[in-house]
Amino acid sequence: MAFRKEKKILLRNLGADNPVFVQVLGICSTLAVTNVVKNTLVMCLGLVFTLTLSNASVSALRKWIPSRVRMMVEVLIIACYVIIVDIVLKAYLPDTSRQLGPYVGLIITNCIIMGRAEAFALTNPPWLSAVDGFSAGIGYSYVLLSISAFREILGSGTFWGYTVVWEGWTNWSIMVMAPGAFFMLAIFIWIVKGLILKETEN
Amino acid sequence: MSDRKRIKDGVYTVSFMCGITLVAISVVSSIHLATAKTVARNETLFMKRAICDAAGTGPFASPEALITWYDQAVAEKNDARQPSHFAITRKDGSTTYVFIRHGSGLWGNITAVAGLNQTLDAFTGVTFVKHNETPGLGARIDEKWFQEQFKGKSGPFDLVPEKTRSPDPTKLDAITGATITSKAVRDIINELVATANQTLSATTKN
Repeated sequence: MAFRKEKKILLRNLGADNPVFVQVLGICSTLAVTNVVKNTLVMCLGLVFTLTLSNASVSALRKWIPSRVRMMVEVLIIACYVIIVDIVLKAYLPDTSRQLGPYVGLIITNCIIMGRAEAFALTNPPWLSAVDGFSAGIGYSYVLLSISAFREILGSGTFWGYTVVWEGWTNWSIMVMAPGAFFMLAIFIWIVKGLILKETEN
Repeated sequence: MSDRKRIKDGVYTVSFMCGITLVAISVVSSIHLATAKTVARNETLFMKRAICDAAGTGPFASPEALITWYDQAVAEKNDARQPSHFAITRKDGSTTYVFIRHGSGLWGNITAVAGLNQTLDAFTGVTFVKHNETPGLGARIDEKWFQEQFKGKSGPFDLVPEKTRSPDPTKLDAITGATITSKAVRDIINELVATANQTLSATTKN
């Protein structure tokens, strides 16, 4: 069957091997950028872009990268793509860029990217690595987007900047702060592991 | 491993690293150069928009309209210490003065841009262009109600609890849970109220 491998990689990264709620990687950005849906989406797009291309690039170069300096090369490639994202945001989405502040630059240290490069791209061909990077990025994104939807609605009473709550609603300040993300992430992991992943573990 | 092979290996590793660094640098630099103008324009536009907000003007339909207005109405006044304030001539002939002031917040500096009317007894607007306050608490100084409440008031200010919404010209609603930020903002603005006159006369002498 065509695309059997690709499908397997995709499903694995979205579900059983999800980078956020199974591997628990990239938590720093989960805490930092999920208080508003719009910023989260920009962050996720940046991550998907970086992850897909860095995985493909590392994989394309894997036969020539000297193993002693492979991590330096990986970080260099990742940093290159992240800075491109940062520059493009500054030029075309200045307000979002200002709100995200240092967090776009911090994608460089996002453990998911380094993890996929080390664990997958170094031993697989470029196309599969791109699929792997892309699907890991999507796996990260949908978790963050759902967390941010709850955080924005409960914490600011808005969704995508539009007010969605009734008069007299009190915002939950804690949801906008980092602990709110911890709670939401924990609840997310609890629900997913309790309801969906339980059968696969048994 | 023979010495020769080891040297060869080392040379390869170093040249590979140098090569890929060069490639990465050239890609990033060319993108940076290609967008440098847009980025610089965004920066000045951001400042101009803040000055326009502080003067209580706008919003403008397009960035171009904002720039046209700015070029016509705003005079940047400088004294020995960097840009001290901006004098904005209104359509009715009166002048609004916009000042930039810095102060320490909870996590870092807060930069406020504040406008006062010609007689320096009422704020036309206050906005914050830079701060690192806590999201959800101190960062709420970005919220509209907080900045709007300065309009028409004279200061110097005392803090009252959030949601008092006092019409008293010397009362300022603080932000619940962000006492240090609220006090910092109060101090920045009060310092401005106290020194605005001095700043203006110092520049006029020059």
